[in-house]
Amino acid sequence: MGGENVFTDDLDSTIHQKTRLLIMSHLAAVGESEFLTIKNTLGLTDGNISIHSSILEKSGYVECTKDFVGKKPRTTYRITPAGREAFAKYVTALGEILKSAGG
Amino acid sequence: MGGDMDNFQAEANIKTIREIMERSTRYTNFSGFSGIIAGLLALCGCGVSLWIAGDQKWGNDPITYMVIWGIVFIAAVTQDFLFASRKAKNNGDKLLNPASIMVIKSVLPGIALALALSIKGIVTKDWNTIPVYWTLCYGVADYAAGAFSVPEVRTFGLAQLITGIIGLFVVTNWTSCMFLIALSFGLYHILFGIFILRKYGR
Repeated sequence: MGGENVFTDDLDSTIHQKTRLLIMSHLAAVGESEFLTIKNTLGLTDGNISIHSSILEKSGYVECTKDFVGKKPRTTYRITPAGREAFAKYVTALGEILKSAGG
Repeated sequence: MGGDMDNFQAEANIKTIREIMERSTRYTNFSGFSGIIAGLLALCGCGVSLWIAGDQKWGNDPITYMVIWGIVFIAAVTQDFLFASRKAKNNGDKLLNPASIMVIKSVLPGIALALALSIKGIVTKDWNTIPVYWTLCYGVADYAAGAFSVPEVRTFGLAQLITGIIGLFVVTNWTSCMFLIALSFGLYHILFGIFILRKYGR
């Protein structure tokens, strides 16, 4: 009972999704990353990255910049301060779940 | 049941976060080709040294050896840089990323120490110690770098370190110096390069 409410209510639903969790974990570690690096490191498809990074962007957790390197387009994602804070809270909440389970 | 599933899920998510953060900060722009070429360059250096030396060994012409090995060092570092740049570009990555910066920071002390000990060896004309110090310091540098890259780098560093420690006691003349260099900088690099190529691709 308590466990389920804590789990649902205290966890940020934006981050608490498999693909978005991967992206946020990666960006929390490196700060900023290009689209191709995210794809190669996390093994995600282009569509997956685009959809979920848009959601993270709308939540203000990630910033996206697009530019060109020569003639090649480059998309770079950067975690925002709000994103870092939300990710830290998410990790803390996970820790609390485990702590309360441990007794 | 809901509570138990939540705990498993929480634990799994923490494990995922840890794994992804570790993977993201691991330097992977090693090129197997670069390792092989570095090894071949070292063997070339040994070959040229042997050819020039004849019966002269160290004492009569140390400047020539410094030039030979200086060229080998610069060539090895340059080709490593070029291959790493190409690999980073193919991966859509920057050559200087958080992982590579950590690797550079971790190897610098070992390399700086090797340079300092080399200068000491040159000043005191204790030539036989220079390859041993380089093997030891390079091993330490690689072992440290292994914390921020693929696990094989740590193994490579350990092999260099053990070889260098043995070298402290058995390298007593020019011939054994050349053998040490051929082994630690030649053969080990070639084997490492082949392994990286097979496991991680180009």
